[in-house]
Amino acid sequence: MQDVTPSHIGVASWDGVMYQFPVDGDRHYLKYRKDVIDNPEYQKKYKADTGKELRVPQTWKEYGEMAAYFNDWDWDGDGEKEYGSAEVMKKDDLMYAAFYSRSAAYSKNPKTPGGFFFDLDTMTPLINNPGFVEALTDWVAATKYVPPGGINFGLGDEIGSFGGGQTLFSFSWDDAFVAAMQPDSPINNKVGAAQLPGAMKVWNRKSNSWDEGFNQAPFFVWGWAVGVAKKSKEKEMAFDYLCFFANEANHQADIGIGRFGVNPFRNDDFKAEVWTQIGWDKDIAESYVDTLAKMEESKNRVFPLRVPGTFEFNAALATAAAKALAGQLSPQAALDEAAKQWNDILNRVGKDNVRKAYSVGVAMEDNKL
Amino acid sequence: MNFKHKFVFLFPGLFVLIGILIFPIIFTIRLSLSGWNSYTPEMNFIGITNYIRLFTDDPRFWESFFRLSFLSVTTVILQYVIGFALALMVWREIKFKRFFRVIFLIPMMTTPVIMTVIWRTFFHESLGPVNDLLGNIGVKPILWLSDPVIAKFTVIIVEVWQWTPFMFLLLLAGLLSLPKEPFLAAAIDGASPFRKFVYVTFPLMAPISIGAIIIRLIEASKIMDTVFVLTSGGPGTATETSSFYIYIKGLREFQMGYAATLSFTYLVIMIISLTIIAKVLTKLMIKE
Repeated sequence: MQDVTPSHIGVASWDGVMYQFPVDGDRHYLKYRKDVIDNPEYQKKYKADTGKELRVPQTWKEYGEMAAYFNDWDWDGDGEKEYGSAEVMKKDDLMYAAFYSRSAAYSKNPKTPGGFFFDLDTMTPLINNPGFVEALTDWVAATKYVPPGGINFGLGDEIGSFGGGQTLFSFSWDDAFVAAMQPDSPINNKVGAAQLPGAMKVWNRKSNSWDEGFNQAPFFVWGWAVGVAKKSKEKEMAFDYLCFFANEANHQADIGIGRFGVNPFRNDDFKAEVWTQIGWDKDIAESYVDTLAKMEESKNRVFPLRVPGTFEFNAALATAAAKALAGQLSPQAALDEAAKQWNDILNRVGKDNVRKAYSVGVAMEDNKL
Repeated sequence: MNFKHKFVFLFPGLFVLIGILIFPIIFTIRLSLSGWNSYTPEMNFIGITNYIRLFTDDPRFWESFFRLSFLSVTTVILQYVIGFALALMVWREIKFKRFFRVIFLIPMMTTPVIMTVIWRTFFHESLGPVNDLLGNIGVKPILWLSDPVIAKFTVIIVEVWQWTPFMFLLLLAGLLSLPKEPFLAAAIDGASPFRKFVYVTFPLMAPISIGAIIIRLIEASKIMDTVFVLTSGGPGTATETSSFYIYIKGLREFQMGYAATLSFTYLVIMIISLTIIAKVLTKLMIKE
């Protein structure tokens, strides 16, 4: 347990007390086709056509521009068309997490601590502020550079699409990246990992205006954790099994297989040799562990909601975002609808109940835990 | 036999009826008057708050209900027409009659969820074979699952494929049980096949047609598995049906009290509307 990263100790804890036994560590980050982004010919062509550098996208706007450029043509010479990006856009399939990933850079302002989802003082939902609206506007534009049917991609589709070599970019859990790096993958050792893109402006809810300048915020998405029932008659046996399940050897075997869904959460996982010994190229392994390590070091992180009514909040947001992606509502109208529903949920659950729980998450986001 | 003896014989049936029908309905009504959810999992009493919320502040439920009406009526009409045509085809003496009868029934014998997963694979817009095949003849990829309008028709295609055999089976059974005399009389009068169908077969089949349509409407109005697997109600809310919405509220968001309100309201609406539909169909199809 001493080897668990501080972030995932926080994830498995509540208000400083660890209640869960972590067996997995989840986070969202950018995955890209290294053989394309680092290709000098494509860099030259991209520069000539757009006047911009082809590089690992630093912002969501760059991400969108590159994805649109590399959309709907055969850029890897396999005789089939490739596309810009694979994303989890299917409602009720964890798509809310994808939206939070896209929103963090525009809405998690290190100058305004005290809440990403709600203003902790007033418990006003923040999800319809201009930062979130900008992110949803970007996301609606993304429907133009995902594969046909990409608007209906769930997590499995995203893993299959990027892992199968169909897209230039993807972002979400590790699984697609690890699947892409497996020996049987058509893009084995052709992918790179990087932080989620940032933004050149971030919404300041105190001044009610944009703060100009680069901002980036990693998104931790919990991870599987296990609990042992208080009334269990065989607590020791249960913990013994968990220790076996998550021991170093089993853990090392699990994290190298994408479909297993077990992702790094131990400090040892952040060593490049762990990955080179299962066949990853050294520079890819280094970029991967460097990405994960930088997320740990960041002081501007976002963690998902852990409050009474979380399912309702996330479902309301996902439905609204899905309506915007499908063209049923504008981004602003969709998020206004979600904010109204969040207020209704708050009234049902009780603002103080939610505030009390959310304050723990805010303390993590504000680096106070 | 006195009253007590009758009661003893009736008791097992009554017991089952109370256990599987009366009690769940009463429990659902009681649950609908509570605020049971994931954070207050208790049978408290909040009066008609949930009903007020449904009728004043939940347009999504009503949208899903009207969408369901469109989907179920369309699928049942198509199933009836196709099922009737297939039944007529194998009703008469034709070669390989038994073979065709079995073939037509296969979709109904398959597991709906598994078949929908297969259909979803077929219709996958970038990785599925349907667009691939269409691409070979120069047709651009069709957004089977991600266009709000086309996705509805994709749901209809899958439902019609899966459940037309049920309609076929009922209608074929009806055709096989028809008396021969009216057909002999029509033949003696020299009636054409079309006139025989319009004036003999169709009227004689009306009672069983109404039964088959109502049974299928009841079933079709519960469309859930197809939508769940095929589109998850998307894109947006374009294919969300009432039962799928109730599932989201109850088993995704754990708003059990509110989901019970939706379920009970839905049950009442379905009982009323299906009764009206049965009356209308009887009036239209059965001539005294």
